[in-house]
Amino acid sequence: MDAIFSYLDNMFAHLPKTEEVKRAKSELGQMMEDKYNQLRAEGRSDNEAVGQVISEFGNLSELAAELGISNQYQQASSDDNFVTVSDAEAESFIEKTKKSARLIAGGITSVLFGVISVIFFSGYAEGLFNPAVLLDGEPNKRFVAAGIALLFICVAFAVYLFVMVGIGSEKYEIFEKKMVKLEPHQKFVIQEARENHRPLLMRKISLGVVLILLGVAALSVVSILNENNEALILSAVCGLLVVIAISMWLFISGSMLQSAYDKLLNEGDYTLERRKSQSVMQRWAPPYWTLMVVGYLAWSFITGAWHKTWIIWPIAGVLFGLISAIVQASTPNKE
Amino acid sequence: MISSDVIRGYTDIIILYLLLDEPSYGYEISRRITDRSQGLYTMKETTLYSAFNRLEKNGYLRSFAGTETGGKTRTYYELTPQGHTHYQLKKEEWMVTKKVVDQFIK
Repeated sequence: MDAIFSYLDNMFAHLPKTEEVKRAKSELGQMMEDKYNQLRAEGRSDNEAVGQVISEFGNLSELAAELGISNQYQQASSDDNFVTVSDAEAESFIEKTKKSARLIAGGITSVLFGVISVIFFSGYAEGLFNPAVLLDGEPNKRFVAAGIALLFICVAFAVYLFVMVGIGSEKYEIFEKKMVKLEPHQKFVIQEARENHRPLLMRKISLGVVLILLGVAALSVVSILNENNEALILSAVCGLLVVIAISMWLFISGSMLQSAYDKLLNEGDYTLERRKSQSVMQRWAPPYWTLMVVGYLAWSFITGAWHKTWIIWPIAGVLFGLISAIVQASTPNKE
Repeated sequence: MISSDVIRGYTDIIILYLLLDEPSYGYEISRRITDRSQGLYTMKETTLYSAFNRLEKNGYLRSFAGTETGGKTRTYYELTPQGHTHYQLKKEEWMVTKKVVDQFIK
């Protein structure tokens, strides 16, 4: 029931407090309350009743003439920086985001799995786990080749998944650049969804951080205590990568959905000035990551030190975050 | 599904009809619209309030604070004599409209 009144407050928040407006608000509130009570008496749950009352509320712009607020509605809709969105579009955008998050997380997991196989097989080839594989005391190149082959298969699969992300996403690109003009009931519904998602997001982030810290701790302990046991250290590195893959899955699924809500609401990273600085980073992200991949492959193939070169990824990630932050801070505030 | 553009012209006649016999208040009118239309049409709250407002300004409705038996205070609406006349006019208009449109429906 409170949700109905907060919805109503929200919609009237920016209107002048004239007698007409006050009366409209109290009358509408009365009708909504009556309808809510009736639905509850018919046995609907609180959520169902609130949902129906809000979906049948209508649109305040219908009252614009009566309330003397017509100017505000015209202004917002004729602004070039804004796009409008229908309920169905907003919903399919959220669905597409969930799907994209799964695809991206799947792609990253696949790449990490490829990296793990290279590390594992190059260690295996050196006879760390089973000295019998050595050929005259030399590393068995067949296993190195198998690891690299697996990496390429995984990367190819990841590329396939990343391409899938792009399919059907063109029509939502506009939400990246432009501010979204929402009807009050849409704003309310999306805010509710975002608030409901927040506890899950927090759990995902903290679980991911704890997992990574545990993985790093395990690796550190193992390499300090068993300096000479290369097999064990290698296993710990692989374990850390597995843990990173799981954490990435958690981070990506949580944060992509959150930012989809933020995009629709023009909040968080999607306020007017942030959108401007973001578009700069969006231009630079693809060449940046391509450069990193080329660097990683070149370094790895030239030195053959696949068990060391993975370090490029955490560094590249942190560096990217740092550059984004600097660009964001140095973008002039246009307000 | 009824197109909201089509029904918009008949919002007034629907509300006036429901007030012909006795005064009523917002939610009750809204519920009776849904019931009488067998759930095919539900008038949005904003549409309803906007119509009350307009009808009252034109002098077809009068509002007063009333109390349901044992219930709470609500704004009731009742038809004025001009409201009755307006209903008759709208009714005749609809009869003609219906007759015309029906000529093109098979």
